[in-house]
Amino acid sequence: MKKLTAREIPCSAEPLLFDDGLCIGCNRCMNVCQVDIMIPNPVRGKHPVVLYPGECYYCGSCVMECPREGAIRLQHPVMNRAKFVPVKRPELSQTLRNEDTMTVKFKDLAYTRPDEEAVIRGIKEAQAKLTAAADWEAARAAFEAFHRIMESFRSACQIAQIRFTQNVRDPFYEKENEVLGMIAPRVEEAAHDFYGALLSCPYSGQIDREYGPMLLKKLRYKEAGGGEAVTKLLQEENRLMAQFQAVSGTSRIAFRGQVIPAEQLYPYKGDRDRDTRREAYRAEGDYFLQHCEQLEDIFDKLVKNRNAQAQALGFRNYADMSLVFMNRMGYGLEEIAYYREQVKKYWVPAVREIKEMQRKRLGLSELKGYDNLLYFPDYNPAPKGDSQAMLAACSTMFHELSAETGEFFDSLLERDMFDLDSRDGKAPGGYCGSVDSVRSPFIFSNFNGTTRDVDVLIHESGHAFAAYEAYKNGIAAECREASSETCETHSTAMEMLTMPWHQLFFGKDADRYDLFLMERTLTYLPGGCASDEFLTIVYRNPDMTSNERHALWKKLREEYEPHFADFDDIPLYGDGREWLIDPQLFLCPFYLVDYGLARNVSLQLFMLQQKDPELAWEKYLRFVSFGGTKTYMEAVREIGMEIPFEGEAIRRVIEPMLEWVKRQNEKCRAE
Amino acid sequence: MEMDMEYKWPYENETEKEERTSCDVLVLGGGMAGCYAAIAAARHGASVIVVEKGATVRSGAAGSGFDHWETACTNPGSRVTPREIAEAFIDEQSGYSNGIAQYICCREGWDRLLDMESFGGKIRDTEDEFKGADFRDDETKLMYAYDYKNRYTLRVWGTTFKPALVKEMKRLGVKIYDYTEATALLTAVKDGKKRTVGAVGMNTRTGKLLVVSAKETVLAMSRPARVWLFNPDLVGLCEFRPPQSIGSGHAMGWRAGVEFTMMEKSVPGEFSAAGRSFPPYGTGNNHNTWYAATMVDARGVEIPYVDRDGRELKTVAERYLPAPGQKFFLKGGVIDEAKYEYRGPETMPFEELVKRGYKLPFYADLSRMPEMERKVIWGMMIGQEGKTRVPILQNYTERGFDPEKHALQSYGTGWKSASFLDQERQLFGAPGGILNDWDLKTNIDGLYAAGDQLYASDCAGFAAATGYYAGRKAAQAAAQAVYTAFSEEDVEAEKKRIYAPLGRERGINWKELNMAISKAMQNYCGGIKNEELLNEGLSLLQEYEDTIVPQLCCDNPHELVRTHEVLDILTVSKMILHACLLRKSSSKPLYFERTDYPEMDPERDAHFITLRQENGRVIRGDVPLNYYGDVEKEYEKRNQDYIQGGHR
Repeated sequence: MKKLTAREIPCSAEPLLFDDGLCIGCNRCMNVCQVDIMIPNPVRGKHPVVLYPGECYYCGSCVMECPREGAIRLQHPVMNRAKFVPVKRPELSQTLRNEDTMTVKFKDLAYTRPDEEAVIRGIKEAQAKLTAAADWEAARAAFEAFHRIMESFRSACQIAQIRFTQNVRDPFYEKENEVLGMIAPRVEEAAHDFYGALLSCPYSGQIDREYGPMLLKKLRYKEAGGGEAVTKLLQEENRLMAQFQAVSGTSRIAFRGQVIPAEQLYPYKGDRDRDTRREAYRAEGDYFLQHCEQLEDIFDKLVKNRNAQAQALGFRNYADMSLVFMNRMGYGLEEIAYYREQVKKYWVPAVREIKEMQRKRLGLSELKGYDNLLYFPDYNPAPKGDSQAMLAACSTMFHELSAETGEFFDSLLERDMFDLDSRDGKAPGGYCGSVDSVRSPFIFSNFNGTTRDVDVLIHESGHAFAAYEAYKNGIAAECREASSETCETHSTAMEMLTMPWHQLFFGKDADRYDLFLMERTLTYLPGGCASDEFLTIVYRNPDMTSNERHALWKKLREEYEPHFADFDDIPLYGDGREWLIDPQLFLCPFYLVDYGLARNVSLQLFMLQQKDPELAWEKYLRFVSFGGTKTYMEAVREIGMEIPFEGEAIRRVIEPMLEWVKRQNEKCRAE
Repeated sequence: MEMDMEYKWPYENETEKEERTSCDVLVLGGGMAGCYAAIAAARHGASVIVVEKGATVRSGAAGSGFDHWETACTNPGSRVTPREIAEAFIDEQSGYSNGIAQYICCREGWDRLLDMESFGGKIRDTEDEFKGADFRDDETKLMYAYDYKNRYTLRVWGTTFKPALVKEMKRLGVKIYDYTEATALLTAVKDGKKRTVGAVGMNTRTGKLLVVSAKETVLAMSRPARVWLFNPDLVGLCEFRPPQSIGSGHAMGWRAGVEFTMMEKSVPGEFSAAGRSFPPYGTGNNHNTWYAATMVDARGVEIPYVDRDGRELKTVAERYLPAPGQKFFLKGGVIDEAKYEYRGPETMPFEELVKRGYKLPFYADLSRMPEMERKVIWGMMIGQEGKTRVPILQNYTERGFDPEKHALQSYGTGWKSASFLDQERQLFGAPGGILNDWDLKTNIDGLYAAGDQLYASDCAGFAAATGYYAGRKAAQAAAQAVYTAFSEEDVEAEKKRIYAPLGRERGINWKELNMAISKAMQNYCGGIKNEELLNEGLSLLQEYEDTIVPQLCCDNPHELVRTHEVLDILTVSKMILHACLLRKSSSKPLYFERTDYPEMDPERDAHFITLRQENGRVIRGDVPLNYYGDVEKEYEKRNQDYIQGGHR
């Protein structure tokens, strides 16, 4: 056997270090090492020699064993020294601001919960900079910083809200919405303070010049309608609204042996078979009957909450305050009351005539509430094809309509900014949302194979087009969106001005659809007034009992929409409680009248289109291009249309439209 | 500079000397399993020898400590039964589980902890450091981990354990041979049947031969390692377990004819700090020791935890509770992605996080956790878990890390802290090993197995419980047994084998062969396997055996030990290749993929395939997954003495 030798086998690391001053050479470290990488030092009293450093297991037993603290130390190879950093509190989400997200499909958009404290801190810092600004440049920089923060925050809210409506059972977005519902009022409060500082800064002249006079005007409204005083109430209001959505969005209605979302009941309500129609209403009525008390309770709390908000801000009640949060500029409740009177005077009788035509068409001796959605005795027009086919038709239509609408629709298609098909768990209805960060609108619907699919698609496309134009025109966030009478003009006018293309959706039934569209449009107006009057009275008399509210609803129904008053003994529909399932009354009170104000302008454009299609479209484009930079009255006047609550404007719309309907009715009969 | 310095070998050259001794129960391996086996055997009146390659006081995977004692289902706070948890583990592993050992662990684990306490180990928060914490029972001062509702995993002060065990062994008169490697089992044929009659070993410093004659032998060594993963520069960091724990027990068992199962199972690497990963527990993560640390992304946005239904958890406290409608959840060393039924809270999947805009790198941010949860992770768990007290707690603190002020970076996208390639494999997460019966006995008489040598082994608590059980059974058998003589020829042959490399003046270094083996295993036994590849692998390894092994050469006993290890790695690698050849289908629970037999888990192969060696031939066996029967009934049938006799 050869002589045993020991040679140090170096490696790339040096795991053990000794302090000669401390080490006493006791070799205890060496004798606990399970890998036995050391040998005693030939020099007595000196630290052991690490013969096999590469075999070190970095367990630290040697250090644990050492009787002289610090005599032996362990160090990891450089590559294994894990990195640590000072703890970070999240800054504003930067993820949404990537340029490449501008082409991302909606489903791929990243959502990150905004960090409440960071957002608020950011706003406060921007405000401090604004207040300290020595010149307009500095002030504008602060304002733009504020914009960036708000945009990022808003975008997160928008994405969460859309995704929640896509699946109200998704616990993630349910939770996010709940959280955002708590965060948003606090952010709004900080924004409110920022706006306060902006209003009191000495650069209003420059602001007007650069952003237009609407900005400060809107901010004054905003200031009047928000702030710390209502933050808690707003949070509570958000919670109540979410409760309503949870009840209505998760409805599962037993109908003819299956259980379906309320949305999917809609076609049956317009079924050719009267029993089916009646049964569909009854199924819905029966289902919501069990939720009535809950809905009454939510509504009652909403009324009290909103009136409390109004009072905290110095209004008598929420109806008065509605002028501010609805951004009604240049007119007030008196004008609206006048408008309702005019509707009652001219419009309601015209609708009666239209309904009589419908009754005759249907060959019924009496038109009941549940007959309203059947427009034709043999069949209602129905769109051809599925959602993809409809998107294709829409695309053709918008390309033919104008270059602007073509570009707009392509952009939405590219990014798949649609969710159109009805699904279990999806929130009801249709809407146009938007995601500011990617500068795009989003269209949501619940297709069910009826005309409503087309109604919603074109209607929401009108909103979406306006939003798209506003993004494109670089309008400041505060002024991008117009007040709702204006917005609903964007959408309802689109329904009517696209009439020449409706055959893309309905083929030979396009005439029927157009008749239906106009009948629906015209018959809607009184309903909007009824809701408006209902809410005005309810908010002025917050202590009304639920039964009193039901009675009021029934009375107004009879005045404005007698054709909707008789539902036999169907629960809710037949007993004045139907309003409990109208989301608009819960979620956006005082909004409904705006559809009427809007449709009046749209109908004027439609009538103009009959004579001069190019001029009508030009006016529409101009109207859309204002975005929210003009008031409703300004914008309507700007394109030379009449304001519905001025003089006899109402009469001048309804009379020729009634004639149009009669003609169309004849046309359809002839076919 | 001390580079390339030559020293005189500091120990006496005893390569020509030998020591002969005998005992009732011989325990090979002085880790957790071995120590408990020795204590059990000694308590039952046996004379006991422990042979340990390192220094028992700190040797083995748990030598420098450990922090979780899993499945102590009979502890006073537990709300689960041993049967419930053992059966859950079996089901979780789709039957490829060591039901016997799991049940022993669940049933006797708490008894071993009480033993540990009596030896001087710390199992309770006696200093009231964590008084009032959610995870602490203020009456018993026991501290729980993972599932705070069901309380069956304990947080323990594992750095105190090995010294306490050594003290107890000495008190009981156990003879410990430290720095002695076991190299071979000695067998004899008795009454026509093969039995183990002792073992051969060698002092790792002097080279002195040790020959032990024993009535019963317990294999309590490690699972194989350095099979696919080897780095000749930082050998000590190749794998998770200590570098000298490479499966010599498996190799000598194979040579003696022991029956193994599940050896076809290997998983993509999880730890190899020499290469892709970092010091275990030394990066930001939220598993095991770090469960359930708050994780944040690059922007500092917190990463949500979700329960098994994807419900996002609102509080830190919820991370330690089962989901609504769930009785308990499983977490721990061998639980990776648990089945729905047993799945506990977990951070949202990485893909989902990316979709939601979370940005790498992630960090563990303990500063956001309640004080007690932070302190227990950084200070107790990091501090008591093996390889953490000095390398992490002390070292990072010296580098300036403060858990209240710093976030520790995470590498990769999960707890493995690195992304390994598919061919970079390890025997991890309940790997294969020796097939055992209800006495933890192998197919060879007189030979028992415990801890990591058992198939589908788990963590330290498993090692302790099975070690004790095997030691007890061995002692009971020894009481009835007599010594059987071994053959001197066998000893001579072993001597020839083990000393050969020391006799060569020049030749090939052990590292070169280890590199060659691991490269061969990556090439021929990687993530994807087929008959041809596996056979090529076997042929190449045989070539190494025939041409390289005879050239191995080294300068001293330390390097001789390393050389023996590589010989064992070679043996084990061949066994793995054979096992892979035997299973002619693919299997998800076994992480086993064959391109020539892609069918996943067909019914015909839903059982243990075993293998052993007899006269150079591989003998296959097929054993049903539930061969051990009803765990509780079968256990109680065989352990009334223990149940009635004070759990000793």
